[in-house]
Amino acid sequence: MIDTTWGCWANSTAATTTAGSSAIWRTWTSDVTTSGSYVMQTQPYRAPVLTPEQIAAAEQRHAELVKAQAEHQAKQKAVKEKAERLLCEHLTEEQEQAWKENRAIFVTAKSGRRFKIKEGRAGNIEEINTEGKAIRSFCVHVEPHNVPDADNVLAQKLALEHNEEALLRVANSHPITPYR
Amino acid sequence: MTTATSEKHEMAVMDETGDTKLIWDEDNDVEVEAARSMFNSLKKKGYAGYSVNKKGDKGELLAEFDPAAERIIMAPQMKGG
Repeated sequence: MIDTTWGCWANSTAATTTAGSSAIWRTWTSDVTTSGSYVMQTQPYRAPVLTPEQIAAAEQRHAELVKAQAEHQAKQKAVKEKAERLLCEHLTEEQEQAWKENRAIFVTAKSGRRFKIKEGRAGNIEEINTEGKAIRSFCVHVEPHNVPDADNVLAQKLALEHNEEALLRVANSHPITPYR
Repeated sequence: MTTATSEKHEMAVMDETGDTKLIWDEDNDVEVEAARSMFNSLKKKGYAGYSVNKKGDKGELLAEFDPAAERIIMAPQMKGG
């Protein structure tokens, strides 16, 4: 039956079927009984036997990894908090309140255009119309990707307030449709 | 622009640690020159320098270093995403 299957699969026309195709099939499956049925070879799992020294070394490596991970997380948390402090120090009272409540601030550029900067890095700036609706999104961010997001938001705020034209010149922008 | 009393001024340079601060005394020429040198070096790398106050309601894009600025924030170059 297997030989027939292989013959049909490998050579759909009788003219190209060769005696060798059956041999290929047997080689491929490697475990075929004389009756043609496939035999699944399984072996029980055997846990490696470790010496007490090996166990101690593994436990020490694990402890070191856990410690390194905790230190990395603590460092990242400190970096995030530092950037958050720098941002909040340079927000107006209204902006700071909005940031703490909604993780977003509103900025009015010198041109009079109003923008919403949401927490994030890319595509987080929206232009707001007089009705308070987002009409366009802008994707522009600080070049080094390892700068914390709060720093990025502060850089975007300062640029919109004091360097709007240059910022929007390099930004990718897309209209926001009512369906988005 | 000058200040009546000798006050510490600060430059915050955004980086992967959040920011790194450089402090100078307007009356100390060495410190002022160190801050100016840092400002110019970062400007060459594409950073923008903003003179700001701590209330967030005043700011200005600096074309050149202002030793009398209360605080300067150096923001890395912006790139379209």
